[in-house]
Amino acid sequence: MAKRFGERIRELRKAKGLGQRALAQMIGVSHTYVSKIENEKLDFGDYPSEDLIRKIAKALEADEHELLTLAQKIPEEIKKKVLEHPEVFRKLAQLDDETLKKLLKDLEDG
Amino acid sequence: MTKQRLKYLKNEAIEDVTAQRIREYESKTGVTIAFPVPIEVIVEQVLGLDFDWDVIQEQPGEQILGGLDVANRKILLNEAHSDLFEQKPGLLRSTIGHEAGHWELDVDRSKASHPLLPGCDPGSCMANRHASKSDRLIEVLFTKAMGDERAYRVYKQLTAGQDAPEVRSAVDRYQSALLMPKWLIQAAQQRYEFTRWSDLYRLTEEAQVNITNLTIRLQRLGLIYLREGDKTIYRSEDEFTGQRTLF
Repeated sequence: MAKRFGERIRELRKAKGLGQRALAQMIGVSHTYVSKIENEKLDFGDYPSEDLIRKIAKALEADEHELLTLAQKIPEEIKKKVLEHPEVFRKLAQLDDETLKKLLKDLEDG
Repeated sequence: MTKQRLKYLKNEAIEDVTAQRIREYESKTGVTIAFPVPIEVIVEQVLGLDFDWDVIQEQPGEQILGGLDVANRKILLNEAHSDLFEQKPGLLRSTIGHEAGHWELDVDRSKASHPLLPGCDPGSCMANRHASKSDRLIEVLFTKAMGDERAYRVYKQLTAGQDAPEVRSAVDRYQSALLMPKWLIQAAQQRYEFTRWSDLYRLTEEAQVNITNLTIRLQRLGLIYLREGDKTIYRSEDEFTGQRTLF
């Protein structure tokens, strides 16, 4: 099962040996806010803004796309591609999971 | 077998267990600790506890700074006092240390499959309080006020005539030993004159602890002697007695 967003942030932060306070300083928020992100208890919305997620990814040297996806946000560059080629994504959306996995494997294998 | 009361847990045992936790952290991270002791990271990486914030219900006259959510292995900090914590980072650190001590020394971890230290008596100073946002019961300590002067006054009123300084709660001794390890204090003695308040305040900034916590720790280590109502810092009780004899 995919990790939850807050849980993944906590895991990445700990792997870097950072406390909540240290991460908070790096991304310009309070340590209570970091705690709320990790415990998924933000007062407004389920996840932080896309900008903040990018800052977190940078501070933790993490995969920005992974974090954005966990936060159920579509990265800007992917949004742009969807809008540029809607027919491709419409077709992709019709495929079942198995076919999508096979397609991904074929793409990765080149 | 009769269990010892928690407050009688020897200072040496507490010094040993906090030193052990610091060594574990150092060996895990390859970092030698210095002031300020990275208590948050030690608690997370060595004790395996996480942090959470919530509003903790308080009874009249109480100041509950934090509690322990044993089942979820979380230290819960009282969001109602987040401004106070912001103004006094030392208070936040001592609260974290208290909860860590509570976890390590006296909580009933049969719930969490973790053994207690020998000689500990769970339940001697705990109560359950409600955390409103997450709607759960947490364990809180009555003795966590030791690191904060305002809370300390409330604590003194509530417990007047009870513990003598040397038998104050084990968790308080735990937090102060973790935040101010003996060897770092001894090293600081080379740089600071402990009988000068200005030096002690400089040390509080370096160690990120509050002044009450520091002076209690220095007294426990026998490095200073303070008398109630007297601002003079003596090196020892003997020094005070000697001075009194002179006049």
